[in-house]
Amino acid sequence: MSRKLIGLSLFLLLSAGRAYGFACIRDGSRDCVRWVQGGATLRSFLGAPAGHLANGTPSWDQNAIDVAGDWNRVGAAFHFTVNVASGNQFVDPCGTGQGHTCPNTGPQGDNPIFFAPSQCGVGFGDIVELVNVCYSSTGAILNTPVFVNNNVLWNAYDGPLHSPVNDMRRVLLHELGHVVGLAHPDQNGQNVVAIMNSHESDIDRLQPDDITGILSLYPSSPSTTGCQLGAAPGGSTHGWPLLIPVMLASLRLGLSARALSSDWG
Amino acid sequence: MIAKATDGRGLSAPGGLRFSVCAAVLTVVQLLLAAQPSHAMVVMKRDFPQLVARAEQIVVGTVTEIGTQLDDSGVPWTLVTLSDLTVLKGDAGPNLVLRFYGGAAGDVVLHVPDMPNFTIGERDLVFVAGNGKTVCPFVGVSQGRFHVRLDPERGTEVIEDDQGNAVVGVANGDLARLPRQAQAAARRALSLDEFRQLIADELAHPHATGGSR
Repeated sequence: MSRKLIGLSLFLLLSAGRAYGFACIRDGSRDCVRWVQGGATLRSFLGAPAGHLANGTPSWDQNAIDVAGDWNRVGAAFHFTVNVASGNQFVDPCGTGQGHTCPNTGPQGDNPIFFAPSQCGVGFGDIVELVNVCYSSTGAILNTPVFVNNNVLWNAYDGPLHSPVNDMRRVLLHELGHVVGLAHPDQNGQNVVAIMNSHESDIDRLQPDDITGILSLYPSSPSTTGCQLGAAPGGSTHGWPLLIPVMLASLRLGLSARALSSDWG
Repeated sequence: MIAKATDGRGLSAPGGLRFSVCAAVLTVVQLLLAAQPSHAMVVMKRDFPQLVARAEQIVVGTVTEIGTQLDDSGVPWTLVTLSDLTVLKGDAGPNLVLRFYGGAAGDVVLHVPDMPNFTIGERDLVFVAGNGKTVCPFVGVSQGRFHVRLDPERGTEVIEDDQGNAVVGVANGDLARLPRQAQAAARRALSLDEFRQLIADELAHPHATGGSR
C-alpha cells in the first residue's frame, strides 16, 4: 500500500511541472542577498514572562533558540547561533553614522532581538514584528536587528491562531527566514504553503518551500546548486535538484501530516 | 533516480520511518497542487470596515515616481508618488507622496522585507494612515493596498489585492477574494466603481468592527 502511495505521489510530483515558489531578498543587480560567512549570531534580549508560555517554554528567549534550531536542522550551509543576553549588553541599533552599519541597525555583526515601543522612533503602525536587513552593494548581509512590538499581545503557542494574541514562535520563525535572506513567495507571484508567506496562517512550522529556499541560498553540497535556482523573477521554478535534500530535511524536522492538519482540515 | 532513492529508503526502513517518508512525499505533492488562503502575519489583521475607518485618506492613483530620500537623521525612506488622484476619503493635493521606511543610504541598503512593492505606471487604491510617521503608510500594511487593473475582456478596471487575488465582494464583514489562478477570478472581480461604492456605503454606515483597537 505504501509502495503504491509513494509511486502515485512521485507520479504526481513529476507531472506537476513547477516545483517551489520561494523567493529571496534581491539587491540592485537582482541577485539574492546572503550571509557570505554562512551564519549569523543573534542576541536575544526578549527575556521571559512571569509564567510559562502556552507552548510550555519558559521564556521568549527559548522560542528564539528553538526556531533558530528549526532552521539549523534543515541542513543548509548556514548556521544560527543564539545567545541569550542581558540588558547591560544591549547596544541600541537606533542611530546613524559611525558605528552603525546601516541607519538604525547598529554595529556590523550585532543582531539583537528585542522588544521596542517603536522602530527607532517611527511608529510600528499595524506591524507586530519586523527585521531590518542591512546589506552592502555586493549583496552581503551585514546585520539584521529584529524589532518586536511591545504594544501588542504576545504568547507562544502551536496550532491555530488565537487572534489578537500573537504567537511569538511562528512570528520569529518567519522573521529568521528574512534574516537568512528569504522574501515572501506570495508577494512574488507564487502560491505555495510556506511560513515565509507574507500572511500569517495556522502554519506554525517550516514547510518544504521554506526549506527549499534556504537550501537554495546556502547549498549543503555541490549537488544542491545555488541561487541560480532562484534566477526567475520572484524565485525558483526549477527545484528538482533540491528535492531529496528537502525531503530529508522534512524528515529531520518531523514534518508530518500533523504540521499541516490545520490547513488541510 | 528520485524515485529509486525514495523508494529504497521507504522499503528498507522501519514502519514509522516508512510512514514519515510517505508523509513527506505526500506533503511535497500536495504542496504542488494546493493553493492556500491566508491571514495576516507580523501585521495585525484588518477587515474591510477597519480599513475604511482607520484610513486617514483613501485614494486611487497612478504611480508616477519612486525615489529614495534621507531624512534629517540620515535614515532612508522610499518615496512613492501617486498622481491622477481620485480621493474617496480625506484630503489630498494633486499628488500624494507615500513614505516607506527603508531604502539605499550610500553604499548600503536598509531593507524591510514586509513592505509592498511598486512599479511606475501601475494604478492602486490605497488606504493611508500615518504617512511618514509609521514604517508603512497603509492600514494593515499590504492589506491596505489594492491593484486597479484594466480587464480588457470586460473593458473596465477591476480590483485585486496586494497578492493579485481578485476581490469579489464582502462576506461576513470582510473582503471576499478569489485566487488569481482561479478561472473565474477575472470575470468575478469587482470593478473599480463597485469597490468605490462599497467604500462609500461603509463610510456612510460604518460597521462596528471599524472602531478603535
